[in-house]
Amino acid sequence: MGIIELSSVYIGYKKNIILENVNFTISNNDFIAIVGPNGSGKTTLLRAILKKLKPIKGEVSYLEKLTFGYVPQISTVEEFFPFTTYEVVLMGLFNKLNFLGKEEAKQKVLGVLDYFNIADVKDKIFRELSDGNKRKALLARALVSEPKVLVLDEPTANLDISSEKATMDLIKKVYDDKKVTVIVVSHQIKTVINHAKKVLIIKDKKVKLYNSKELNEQQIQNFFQVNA
Amino acid sequence: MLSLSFLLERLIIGIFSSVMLSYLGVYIVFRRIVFVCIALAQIITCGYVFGLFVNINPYFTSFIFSLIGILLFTLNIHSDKLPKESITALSYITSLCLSMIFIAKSAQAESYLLNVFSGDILTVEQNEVILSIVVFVLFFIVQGLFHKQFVFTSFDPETAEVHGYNKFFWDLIFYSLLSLAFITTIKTTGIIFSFGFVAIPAAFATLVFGRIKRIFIYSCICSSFSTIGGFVISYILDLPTGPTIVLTSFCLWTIILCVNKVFTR
Repeated sequence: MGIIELSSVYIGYKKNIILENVNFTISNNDFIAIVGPNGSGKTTLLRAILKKLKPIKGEVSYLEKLTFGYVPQISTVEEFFPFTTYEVVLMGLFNKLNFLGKEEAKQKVLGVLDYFNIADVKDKIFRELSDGNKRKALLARALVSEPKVLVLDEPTANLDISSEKATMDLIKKVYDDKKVTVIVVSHQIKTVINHAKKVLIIKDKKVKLYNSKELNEQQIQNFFQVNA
Repeated sequence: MLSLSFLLERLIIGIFSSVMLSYLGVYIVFRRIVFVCIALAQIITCGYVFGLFVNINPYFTSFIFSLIGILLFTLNIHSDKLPKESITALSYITSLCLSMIFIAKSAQAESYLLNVFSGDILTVEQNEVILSIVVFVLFFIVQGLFHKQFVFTSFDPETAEVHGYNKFFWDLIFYSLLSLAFITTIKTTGIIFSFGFVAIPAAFATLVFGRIKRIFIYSCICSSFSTIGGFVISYILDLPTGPTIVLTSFCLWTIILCVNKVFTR
């Protein structure tokens, strides 16, 4: 049973079609990587999945009461605001604060900070955290509301190889522990191929879904040539 | 000799304006939109002097001009070939030049020239006192009810949208509140006062206090004190109200910063 289904979807801005005839289904507990070169339309596809962009044609349908946790690229966060790590994570519960008691919200935030081993920096200003801890804090914020789908936009951007692996390992751990559906965007197929179950490759306005294990060396090589 | 109650009423307007502007100034400084807001203030000033020029209620014309400014900045109009700052600069310089022309060509506006920039809180009428109080109450009701929305859409607009907070809508409300604060200060304390209070308290408070809550609180408290101090100085020495209050705020914050540096060594 799919939780998100795109059927004959055309996505773009005004009359400029970025992706055409997109058809795929995301199932419960999937781990999907969306890969493609810079400017291929990964973020556009993500915006359509997150209901931030209405398709020009076709339909995106969702399972009822589907909730998203979103991890943006750090560069899109206005880091000048001197929020503490605790305050940043609490933002993930803003929608629920009217229903949750103050104490319950606090316990949820502390619990998720603990899960990511960043409880010791809860009172530290977000801007002053290491890059690794910033990513953990944003992940914690995305997970604190216990969403059904976790969406991450380029979580490994601007990282060295070892940090890339550490980040992907952490996402895999979240996937295994929390039983959430994970959608991760990356422009590097080699970063995600070993972790994701399925890979959505975007090329020449077309989107194709592969099972990670089915992807052969030739297909990956083709992707690299386009990406180079 | 002016009565104490008369002076107190005017002082309260100054305090209300400074508190509103310094509260919004925290968002403005951290969102790095100080120049956008200065351009918006200039557009509103242009609307005010246009009202004097065509002999229409200047509050009405400044309100109409503020709508143009709000749309210009919330719609985030920009060109791929042109940095956003250029559009801010264009709107600022155009509205400044228009203001000068309206002032030069209108006898009524010319007599208000100094007031528009530096304010004359002593010539404020009773209905303007009431307007300031209404705007102040409305301002803090909206801030109190929707603080979370302003915080989230300012800090991380992308994620806020995923959580259902529409950035365009909340930006529209934010700039509308700011415009209201600007409109109420044009005649009373002048546009220089607005420029000063959106930047000085938040910038200094950030250097002195590390936490966001403290920055909000102390920006507002110190703005109240510097308004009182500046108001008294301007009255005693017969100086223009707006610039005197702004300079008092600058001096007060400089002292606080120095004291803080000495004691936190």
